[in-house]
This record gives sequence, structure tokens and C-alpha cells, in this order.
Amino acid sequence: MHPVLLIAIPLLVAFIIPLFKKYGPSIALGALALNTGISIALFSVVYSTGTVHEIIAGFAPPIGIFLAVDSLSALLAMIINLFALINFMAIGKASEYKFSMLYLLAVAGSTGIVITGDIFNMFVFFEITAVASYALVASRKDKKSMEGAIKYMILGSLGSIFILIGIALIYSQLKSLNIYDIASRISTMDAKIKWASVAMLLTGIGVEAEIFPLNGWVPDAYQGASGGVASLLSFGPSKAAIYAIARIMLVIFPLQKVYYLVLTIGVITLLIGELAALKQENVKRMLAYSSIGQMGLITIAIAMGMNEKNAILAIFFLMVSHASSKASLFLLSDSSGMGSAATKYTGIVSVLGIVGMPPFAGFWGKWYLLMAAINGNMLWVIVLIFFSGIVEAAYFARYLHRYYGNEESFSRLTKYSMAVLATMSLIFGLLPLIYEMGLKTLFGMGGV
Amino acid sequence: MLDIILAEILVAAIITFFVGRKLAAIIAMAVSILPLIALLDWASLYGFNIIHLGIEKSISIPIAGVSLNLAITPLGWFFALMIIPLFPAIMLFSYSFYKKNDGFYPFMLLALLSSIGIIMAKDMLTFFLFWEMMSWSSFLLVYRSRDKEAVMSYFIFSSLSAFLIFLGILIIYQQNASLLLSSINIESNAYGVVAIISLIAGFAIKSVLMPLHAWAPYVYSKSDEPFVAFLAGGLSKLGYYGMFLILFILAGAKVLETYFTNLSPNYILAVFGALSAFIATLIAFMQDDMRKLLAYSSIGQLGYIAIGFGIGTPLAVSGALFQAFNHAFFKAVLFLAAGAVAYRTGKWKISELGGVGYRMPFTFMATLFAIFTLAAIPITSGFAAKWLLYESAIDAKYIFVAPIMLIAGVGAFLYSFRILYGVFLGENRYPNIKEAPKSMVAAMFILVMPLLIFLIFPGYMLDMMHDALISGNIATLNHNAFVIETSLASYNTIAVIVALMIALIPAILIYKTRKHRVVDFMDNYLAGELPELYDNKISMHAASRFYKPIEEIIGPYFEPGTMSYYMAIYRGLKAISDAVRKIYTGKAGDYAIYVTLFLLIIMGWFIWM
Amino acid sequence: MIWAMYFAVAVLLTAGLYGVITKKNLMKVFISLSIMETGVNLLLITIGYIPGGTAPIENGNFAKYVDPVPQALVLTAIVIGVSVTALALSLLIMYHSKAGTLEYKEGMKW
Repeated sequence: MHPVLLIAIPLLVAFIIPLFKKYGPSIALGALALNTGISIALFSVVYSTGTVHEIIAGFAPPIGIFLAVDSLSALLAMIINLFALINFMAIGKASEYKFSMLYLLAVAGSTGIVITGDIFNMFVFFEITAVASYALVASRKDKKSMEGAIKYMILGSLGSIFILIGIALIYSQLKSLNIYDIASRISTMDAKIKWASVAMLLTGIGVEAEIFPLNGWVPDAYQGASGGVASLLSFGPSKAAIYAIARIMLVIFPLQKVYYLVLTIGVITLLIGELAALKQENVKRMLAYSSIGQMGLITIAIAMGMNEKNAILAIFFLMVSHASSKASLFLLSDSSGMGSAATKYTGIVSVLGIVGMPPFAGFWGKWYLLMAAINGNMLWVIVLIFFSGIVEAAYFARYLHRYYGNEESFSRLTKYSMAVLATMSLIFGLLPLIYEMGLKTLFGMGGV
Repeated sequence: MLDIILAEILVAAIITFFVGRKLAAIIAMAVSILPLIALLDWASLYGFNIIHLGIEKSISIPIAGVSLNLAITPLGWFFALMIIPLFPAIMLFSYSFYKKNDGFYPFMLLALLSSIGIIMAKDMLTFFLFWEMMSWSSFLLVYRSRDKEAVMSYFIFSSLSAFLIFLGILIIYQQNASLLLSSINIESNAYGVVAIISLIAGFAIKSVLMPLHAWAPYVYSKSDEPFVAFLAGGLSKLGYYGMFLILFILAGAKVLETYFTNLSPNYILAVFGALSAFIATLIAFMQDDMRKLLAYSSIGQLGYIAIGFGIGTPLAVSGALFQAFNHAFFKAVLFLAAGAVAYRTGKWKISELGGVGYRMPFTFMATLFAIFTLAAIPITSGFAAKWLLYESAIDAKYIFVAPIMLIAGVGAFLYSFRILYGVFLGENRYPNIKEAPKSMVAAMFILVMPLLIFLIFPGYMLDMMHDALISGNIATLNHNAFVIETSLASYNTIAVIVALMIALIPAILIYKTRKHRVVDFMDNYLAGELPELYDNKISMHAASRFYKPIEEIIGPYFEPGTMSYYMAIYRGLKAISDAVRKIYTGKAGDYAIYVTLFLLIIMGWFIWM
Repeated sequence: MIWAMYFAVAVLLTAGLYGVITKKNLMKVFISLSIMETGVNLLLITIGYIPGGTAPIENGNFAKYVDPVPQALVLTAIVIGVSVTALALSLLIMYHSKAGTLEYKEGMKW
């Protein structure tokens, strides 16, 4: 399976869909299913043979564009496509062909960010994802979603400008766009320009990755978006973006200076997100703040991943856990209640998953993250993570209490899709897949 | 065998999710039989020739790439002995208690599964994983009450407990680079001490030691009684399992002693236990809700175990473990009895009940026996346990703890008397109710059995905890079936029975020779003074505000209650939260400023660093 | 010459950023963003520029030519910029029809 299919299929199908208006959603569903199959196949290839490098258009790197699928990107590509499929089933019926088209574009873009090995391609995929996401957020077509989309757009555009400056600065010195090529020659860069480019890239990608204080758009966009879109945003673009940060920080700039910076950013993001969620009355907004907190946790894991192998395992588990639990919670937030067995199950399992109870994936995420923290002798980080965990427990207890048992109005397919999405966290928490994939990347994220 | 047990319980938990209530109860009961048999089987590991099915000492379960190691340790076996037998009885009780299967059985089975996991854990990861599982499965059971205070306080306190334990585990891991309990050696430095204290605080939350008990009154009084019976009887012991593990098996007590040369931290634990016993007893006086009374009673009775662990002498620890065992059974019986009474009458308030015992004689008998054990009436096993504890406190010259324990012990009888009189005796307000269903009565009597056995043979209890004490480097007391030898005054069942007889015979004689008359409930014992509640037809007797004078004296000291302090913290957090979220002004221009500032700051960071 | 271009880049970026931060009118905000984009495109061109170089077209005289990669990047960036601007304008039209104004005052917050 050529990994480029993962990007090519949804892109192609997205532009075919307008021709078959009525069948648009069905075609999109087919494309997503096909993509899921390919991503699972890709995952199994990476699982058995390690990092896959694929050259596109015949030019060898560093000149040509190429795809680099390491174990984390294989996992994320699978998660994004699989969850996109389930999520689409949950919202598919209500959607029209324009929505399906944008949805496919967002999926293609997120997958592209994850599997590309070229920094400019990463930017292009960022833009594809972002443009599709802006439109998706606005797709509810009321004032709030417009407002959310516009704020998202302003900050997203600002972010992409900074990414482009960062890329330009790197190119000006090294004349290369290939991530691994850059990584091998990073020490030859002029120090000032190097730091300026790290700062630009971190700022630019950080906007999409929801890290504080670049995440002003997050609560508004999530609140304005419909549940299905918010769910897509939480497992698609934001995960891809945080992965991009991981790739850039761990592959290109694994430096001690960056380490403390990213760690501090992560801790602040975690605290701000969790604290802001505590007093929030609107469910979607609360979940959005909670997402910010979780992103902070992943950022901490990324920072520690520079020195500590446990933290890389933590990145894997935390990403899967957050993707699964938050996606189902966002889907659930469309209706103010959990009335039937399936929605009750979804609510409980997602909340348990997100606060990191065993045997859900989130437990292993927290476990390995804190193991890494104690190995790095960082008691203050541990204490702050515990503190935020208690705050998180408080507002999720309140959330469960308020919505459990109320009437709801989901279709049968939606309910079951949500339940499946929530169960993913449990499945990945029990299977040894993630652990073994994580072990494969212990030394150097890229595996080059 | 252990793996079969765990697998079987897990499968049963899934099945009971889908089947009807009666089948679910039967399945849950049936699967808990195997662990019971296994308990006897494991008994042969420790020198009891009961049965022998093929013992295995340890297993490992692969999960998410790591393996969970479990083994049958002496301590684990002893605690299993007090937790597992509760389960089938509670399931039997619930057979007729529930009208439909709405999630009670699967989570109960998960709670049982995780309890077994906790006490059989061979490494800290396994321990913590099962601890968290126990937390959330019991949380979901609390959740069924749909009571805001109960749900939120249990979830938050459980998280707090989990994090404290996690912190301790992390520090221990850092010191030893290993999580295996057998290879852990806590260093005697500041970090080690922090680890021990945070672990003990985490365990204290689960075993409701004051002042970390604040969740218990809400949870115990609002959840279903069968679950509360398991929570108060079984799950609260897991905290003390953890404390024993840390203090004695991992030698945390010695670490504390060597680190703090001048003051004894174990003494502090004993003081917390004593205060817990004392204060909870006083608060229990003032409760009208039967379940709340039992909740505070639990807090008080569990405090004794902390006293025993704090004193730490062989005598004290034996007494504490004995008390833990007793408490598991009598408190389960009492909560089940409360459930049975409520099942027939629909009431929990002592002031609204009365005379239930005339119609529910078997429930009354079981309750009576449990209360005798709780209040440590001589010859009950509760008396034996507290005898050891009092004696150890006196022996260790804990001049603050010993008298407080004694007062709390008398207090325990005073408040439990209110249940006897206010609920079961007195005015016959429910002449038309029936005895509780047979399964409920049977369940209560099954749970009373062990108490009876150890009433007669208190020495057997010491046999059972022998290996556990040895594994914690604690000497055991000399004993035979009837006599426990101690340095001050040995406990001798025969002597106690004889003494009791000598005291009882005159009492019976006096009772028999006096004339009795049946008085009206509103008879003139009020001495002409009309109680303010008279008009509302709420009688003022043992059932309602019997200890009004005491209440008036001590009541003000217990306002506003521990929970209000925690609520103040919570409100403070909310205020911080409110301030923090103001960062998100909603204006794109402000966010653009944040982005710019962020860029400048990290550029500055790179230049400055 | 090159320094003048870098200066122009700095001016465009700062002016755009100033506009994004201060303007309440959403249309002006997006115009500011477009200005910033132009600045970045100029930066890319400048990086690839070599004084006296020719266009990178193979015509025999191949001695000194400007770097073609930044030009490809700029083309892509321009396309992206156009699509983002188009989407932004359509969003603004819809926002205007809902809110009746393009001046952003109060909305979702906290």
C-alpha cells in the first residue's frame, strides 16, 4: 500500500463529490472506509517492519518530496481515519454533500500532516486542514458558529503566516525542506536564525495545536461548531498539529533549551485549560477547555520525550485516549442528556477514559508520563499534574451528574457510533499494540 | 486458580450487564463461591489443613504490553478472608432487594474483582491499577444514588486518594527503580518520608480516617444499602491493607521512626485514629438518619484500626486486624439490616421508625448481635478485639489515646442503643409489615456466623493473622483457641463468660422480680413538660433526640463540619477558575496580542537562556 | 537592494500585525492578514533571490540563476492565500447577514 493513497483518495473523492450531489455522503463514507483499510494496512506494515519512507514523483530526497511514516504517524493516521469513519457514521445522515466534501478535505489534510516528511508539504496540509475546518465550524450557519469560525480563521491565518516565515528562515540557511535532512544539518545553522525559526514554527503550529496562549479560538470555535465537527477537530487537526510539534521538536530541535520551554508551555496550558473548565456552564465550551488541558498534558509528554523513553509511550497513549474520549463526548454534547443505555455507556466510559482510569488508554498515558517525570526528578510537574487531575475530576463529576439520565434525541446509528468511539480508548488500553509501537520509536522520533 | 477467578468474575460482570435481576443475582452469587473455595484452598498455604485443590502462588496477566503480577501473600489472604465472604451474602441479600437490574451487579462484580486484585498485587503498578479500578467501579455504584454531594465528593476524594497514592508510588519507584513489592526498600530521607505520608493519607481517604472522611457520611447515607455494606465492610479495609503494607511490610514505620528522631509519627497516626473514634462517636449521637448514624459509627470503628497500626506493637496490630475483621462483618450486617428495614417501611429516620422488631424478629436478632459486637459487649469478638487494643494503648503508655478510646467505646454503645430502641423496639408504629424476605434474613445470619465463631474461639483469629504479622515483622501473641496471652492481662474467653454470667444473673433476677406495666407512649415520663415537637406527633423518646442535652452541649462544636472546609477550598478553586477564564476575552485582537507576545517571549527565552 | 526588501518584509508584517490587533472591523482584520501574507511571500522571494541571477530556465546560459524552490513555494502560498481570502469573504458575508454589522464588539467569551 502506498501511503500517498491516504491523502490522494480523500482529496480526489472530495472534488468528485459535487458531481454526485445526492450520493455525496455515501461516496464520502466509502472513501473513508477505504482510507481506514489502507491506514490499518499501513499500520501493520510499520508495526512489522518499522518506519516506511516513500518517495513521490521520482525525485530522491532531499530534493524530492517524500513521505515518512514512523510508528507514531502510522498510529495517528490509523486513529484519524478510523475515528473519522466512525464519526462520519454518527453524523452522516444529517450531512449534505458540501459537508462531506469539507470533511474529507479535513481528514486528508490531517493525515497528510502526519505522514509527510517535508516541511513545506506540512504547511500545505496545514492549510488544507485549516480551510476545511474553518468552513466546517461555520457549517451550522448560525451567528455563533460564524463568530467561532471567524476567530478560528483570524488566528489560524496568523499561525500559518508564522509557519511560513519559519520555513522560509530554515530554507534560507539550509536550502532544504526535508525534515530529516534539516535535522542532520541543524547545527550548521546560524544560531539567531535557528532560534527565530523555532520560535516561528512553534508559534504557528501551536495555534492549531491549541497550546496556551495561542488557543483563543478554541473555546469559541468548539462552542460554535456542531458536535460532529467539534469531535472531528478534537481527533483530527489538533492531534495532527500536536504531532507536528512532536516531530519538529523531537526530530529537528531536540535541544535542552527547547525542552524547558516546551515543558513550561505544556504545564501552563494544562493548568489554564483545566482551571478554566471548572466554572464553565456550557458543555461544549467546558469540553473545549478540557481539550486545551489535555493538549497541555501531551505537550508535557513531548517535552519529556526528548530525554525519556517512557514519555514517548505517554504521547501515544494520551493521544489515543484523548481522541477517543473527547470525540465521543463532543458527539454527546449535541443533546443535553444521556437517556438510553448506549449514551449512558458512552458518557461514563468517555469520562472514565479522559480522567485516566485503568484500563483505559488514558491511565497508561498518565502512568508513563509520571514515570518519565519522576525519572527526570520533576516533582513540581507531578504535583501540578495531580492538581489539574483533581480539578478535572471535579468538573467531570459535575458534568456526569448534570446530564446523566436526561432525555436525548439521537438516532440509533449515532448512539452506537458514539459508543464504539468511546470504547476505542478501552481497546487501545488493553491491547499491547501501542506499547509495542511506542517501544519501536524509543530512540529518535523519526527512526532515520 | 487466581487467574480463573479473575477471569470468571470479569465474564460474570459482563453477563450480568445484560440479564434480568434474579439471574444476575444468582450469577453474581455463584461466581463468588469459587473465590470462597479458593480462600480455603489458600488457607493450606498457611498451615491450615482444609482442602487442597492445587495452590499456585503467583500469576501474571498481560495487559497493554506490560504484565500485572499477582500472588497470594499471607496479608492478602487475611484481608481476602474479610472481604470476599461478604460478597455472596450481599448478593443473596440483593436478590430480593432490587426490583430491576440497572447496573448494580456488574459494577459490584468489578469492585470485587479489583479488591482481589489489590490485595493480591505483587507490584505497585498492579496495586495502583486495581486500586483505580476499584475507585471507579465503586464510584459508579455511588453514582446510582444520583445525589449531588455523594457523587461529587466521592469522585473528587477518590481522585485525591489515587493521586496521593500515585505520588508515593512514584517516589518509591525513583528510589528503587523497581515496582516489585519484594524489592522495595524505602529510603529514610525526606523523599521517602513524603512517599510514606502521602501513601498513608491516600489510604486514609478510603478508610475514612478523620479529617479525610468528609465524603463518607454523604456516600454511606445516600447509596444503596447492599453496596454500602460492601463499601463500609469490605472496601474500606483496603485502605488499611495498604497502610499495613507500607508501615510494616515495607517497613515504613521504621523509616519514619529513624527519620523523625524526636517525635514519633506513628503516635500521630494513633492520635488521628483516636480522634476519629472519639469525634465520630459524638457526631453519631446527633444523627437521626439511621444510615448517617452508621456512617459515623463506621468512621469511629475504623479509627480503632488506625490506633492499632499507630501503636504498632504486636498486641496493637493483632487487635487492629481483629477489629478490622469484626468491623467488616458487623457493619455489613447493620447496613443490610438498615436496608431490610427500609425495604419494608421505606423509612430511614429513627424518629419515624419504631417497633419494627416486633414484626421483623430475625432482622432484629441479627442487628442485636451485630450491635453487641460493635459496642464491644463482653464475650463478643468485638470485645476481644478492643481488649487487645485498650491493653496495647495502656501498655505503650499512650496516655492521650487510651482514655479517649475508652470513652469512644462507651459512646458506641450509647448511639447503637438508639438503633435498637428507636428502630426495633418502642412504639409499634408498623403493625402491618412483614419480616424481611427470607434471602435477606439468610444473608444477615450468614454474616453473623463468623462473629459467633470468633466469639467462642478468639484464638483462631490470631492463627489466621499469624503469617500476615510475620510478613510484617511483627511477633505474634501466644494463644490457644480460648486464651490470648498478653503481658498485662490475658484475654480468656472462659473467664469472660463466667464474669458475664456473674454479672448477668443478679440483673436477670432483679428484672424478673420487679413488676412491669406497659405504659402509653406519651406517658407522663415527660414530667409535665411538653416537648416542642409534641404537636407534630413526633414522639420524644430514644428514637428522637434522646441525647438532646448532649447535643446542645457538643452540637455547636461540630458546626459547620469538616465538609464546609473542603467546600471553601472548592469555592476558592472556582474563584480562581473564574479569574483564569477571563483570559479568554473573546476578542480576536486580544488573541492576536497573545500570539505576538508569545512569539516575543520565546524568542527572548532563546536569547536569554 | 536585498536589505531594502527585507525592510519591506518587516514593514508589511508589522503593519499587518498592527491591523489584526487593533482593528475591530472584521473586513479590515482580513485585509491586514492579506498584507502579512504578502510580506511573507516577499520574504520567500527575497530568500531565493541572487543578485544578477537569471530566471531558472534552461537556455544554455546556466551560470547564475535564482533558486527556483522559493518561487514554487510562493506560487503555492499565493494559491492558498487566495482560497483563504475567498473563504474569509464568504464567511464575512454570512456573518453580516446574521449580525447586521462587520464591527465586532461582544460575542462569545470566557
